[in-house]
Amino acid sequence: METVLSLRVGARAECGGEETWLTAARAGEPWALERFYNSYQSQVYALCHRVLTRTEDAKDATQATFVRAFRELPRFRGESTAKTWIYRIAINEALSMLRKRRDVPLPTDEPLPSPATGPSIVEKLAVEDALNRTRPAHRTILVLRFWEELSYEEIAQVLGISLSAVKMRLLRARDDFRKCYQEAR
Amino acid sequence: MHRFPDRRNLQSLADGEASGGEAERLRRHVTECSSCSEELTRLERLGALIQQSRPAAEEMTRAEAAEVFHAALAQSGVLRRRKSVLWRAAWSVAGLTAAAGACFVLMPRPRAIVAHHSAPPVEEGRERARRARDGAYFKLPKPPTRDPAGGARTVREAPAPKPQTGIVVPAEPARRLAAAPKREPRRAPARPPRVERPLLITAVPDEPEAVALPHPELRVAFGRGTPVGAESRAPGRADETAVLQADALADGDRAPDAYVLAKRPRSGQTVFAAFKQPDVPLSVRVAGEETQGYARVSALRVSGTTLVRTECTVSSESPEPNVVITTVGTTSP
Repeated sequence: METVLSLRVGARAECGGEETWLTAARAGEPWALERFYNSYQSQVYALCHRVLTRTEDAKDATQATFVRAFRELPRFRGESTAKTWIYRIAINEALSMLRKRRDVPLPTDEPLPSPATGPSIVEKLAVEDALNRTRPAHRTILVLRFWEELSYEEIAQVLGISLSAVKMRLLRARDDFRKCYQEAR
Repeated sequence: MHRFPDRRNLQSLADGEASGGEAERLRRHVTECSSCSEELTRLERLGALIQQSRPAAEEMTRAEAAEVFHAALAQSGVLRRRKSVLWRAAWSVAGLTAAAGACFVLMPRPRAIVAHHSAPPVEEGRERARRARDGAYFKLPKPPTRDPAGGARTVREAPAPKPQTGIVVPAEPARRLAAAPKREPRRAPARPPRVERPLLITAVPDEPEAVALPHPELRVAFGRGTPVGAESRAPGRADETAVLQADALADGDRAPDAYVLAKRPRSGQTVFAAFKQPDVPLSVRVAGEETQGYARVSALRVSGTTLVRTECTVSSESPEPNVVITTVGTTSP
């Protein structure tokens, strides 16, 4: 019985840029979906982990993000960058997960920070605690701004709100965080 | 006199998001206004505090990432949708083929020259051949009927039954042929269109079984400036063997640059994309010179009703190339 030699698409994947494989991913090409996944999974997972703080939740949110992304890729028109598009999905998934567990205590499984790096452990824990106490929308925008280092414009695209709404929400988030931080200390 | 700035504008200045002219105007104001200066400092400190507390980016392990990918792909139904598209296309082709076959069968054909009369004379045969060449085949005149008196008779008119005389005279072979029902031209039996079942994962084991095997057939070729090629013939039943092939660039190129499609051997239906994990070092000796490269290939294939992931790894750590076969799930029967 003759075996079938697999199709070599490596060359195609190599020579084309993001546009090439993104187009193929929209058409549901498995290799392109995988490329899409490989390009963004680490960023998406890191974002989900920073918002949700729990590994299992972050994994679930990442999976849900890519399920939705794979389904909606054919409708992605490239009006924003693929990164902000997938971030938007990830944030929505993480937020819905965060809202669901709002009443549940939030033990984080993050390892304790090393005393040698950055601010003191007490300060760092206080920041994390304060972030966990802030409203989900506030926590999200603070994470996007200060941990993901997105610009206001990118945050507006990710959250689907206007630029002035970003400024207002960020200011309220800062106030909320400050209040929680003072309580935590 | 400066206008008192909005806190949002101060925040933009603190975050470096204010535009050039606006930033300049705000800075000028802040130098003169103590309350705005304090507010700006507060905003900057708060931002810096959160920024410094940023945890390191968490990463999934490779196995976790692969697991999430496969689960997301299965849940999204993209492959199923894709297969259904292929499926519809296959049915369309099968339908068109069947329609074309039916047209061919029902198409009016030249009347068969029945062997109900004696062989035509040589001249007539030549004439017939000439007419056939000239395209006048369909206008072939009826074969001449013989005069009953002369012993000849037409086949279309059955001869009057002979009176029974007590002796049964066997009919002539030509008569019997004429009386026999017309035989349909022999046709090839219609074969049903080949049907490939869509691949549906119906069960996923909690703990996938993994079997590591030495791989005797894995070949690696390398040349500077040319791709590394790893070809594997996964063991299994002959009709379920999948061939994987992956290429990777050497010289420390860690970007995933090889994508391979594994196909169902008989039908050629795509089972899944195989891919190279770029972080497995591969040391290959070319003309006595050792060069670093990377090759790791994995693919899903169908074996009966089991979805099997096959991974071929060539690394400098293990001198022998090996294959890991993992049962991923059970497919629809």
